[in-house]
Amino acid sequence: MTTAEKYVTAAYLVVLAVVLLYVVLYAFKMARLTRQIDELAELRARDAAPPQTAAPTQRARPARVTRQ
Amino acid sequence: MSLRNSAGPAAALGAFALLLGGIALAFLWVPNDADQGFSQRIFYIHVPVALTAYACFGWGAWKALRLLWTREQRYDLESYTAIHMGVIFGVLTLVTGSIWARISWGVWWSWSEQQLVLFLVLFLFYSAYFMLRYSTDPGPRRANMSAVYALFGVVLIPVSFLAIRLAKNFIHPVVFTRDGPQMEGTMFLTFCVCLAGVLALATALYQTELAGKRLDVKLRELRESLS
Repeated sequence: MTTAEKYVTAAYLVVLAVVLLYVVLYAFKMARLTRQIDELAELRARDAAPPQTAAPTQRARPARVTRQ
Repeated sequence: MSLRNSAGPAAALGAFALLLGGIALAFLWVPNDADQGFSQRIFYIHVPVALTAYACFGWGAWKALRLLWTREQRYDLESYTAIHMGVIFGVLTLVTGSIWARISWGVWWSWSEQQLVLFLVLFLFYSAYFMLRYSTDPGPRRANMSAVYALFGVVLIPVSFLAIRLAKNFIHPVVFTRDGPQMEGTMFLTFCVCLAGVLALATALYQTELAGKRLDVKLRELRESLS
């Protein structure tokens, strides 16, 4: 491989490397956005759910009745 | 504000096919340049990347003008993304140009070359755009300031492009003259394929980054409304 060939290959590889670096960085960003969407979905589900104290009390009553 | 992005994947596919074809043509089909030999093959990546950088800066300035004209805030994000793309392609232009200079002229950089120095000035001007942008709080004031700055920078594009044509003593080659492209048909065809590929790549990256930034904004608004 001549010196010119090495330099020309290096120039093309630099472009490829920068594009790949951009894609990798963007993949990280997309992962962060996905995580944030999951957090928001969880937050929304928590807000939409009924209060947790009422449900166990209702379930416990029939169990006591059966034992008696 | 739509988050759907159909142009991005199509541009990415187009970029992949065109760049693959262009690089294959550049290495396997076009003949060696009579003057520069094998090293002239950098031309097929360096010049398209440089023209794409100009196009991105120009696109950013156009979006900035649209913002100032219509006061629609969506243009701020579009202008910012285009300038970000221009800076990325500007880095690539400087790096590939330096490599070419090292082979052809024996130096990595020449301060006496107006074309090089003017491109560096253009690149640094748009790099400073980010410093200005992040030194102020988000909002219409920042959008307007950024837009005015982006518009000022666009003046440097024709100056940078015409520098080698106006200069009397230069060593940077002039390929496109008033008489058309000064190269063989095969070389010009390869150059066109590579230019289309790099422009498609810039479009794909621009669309992807814009979609990501819009999603970011939307998520922030949603988070604020929920908390």
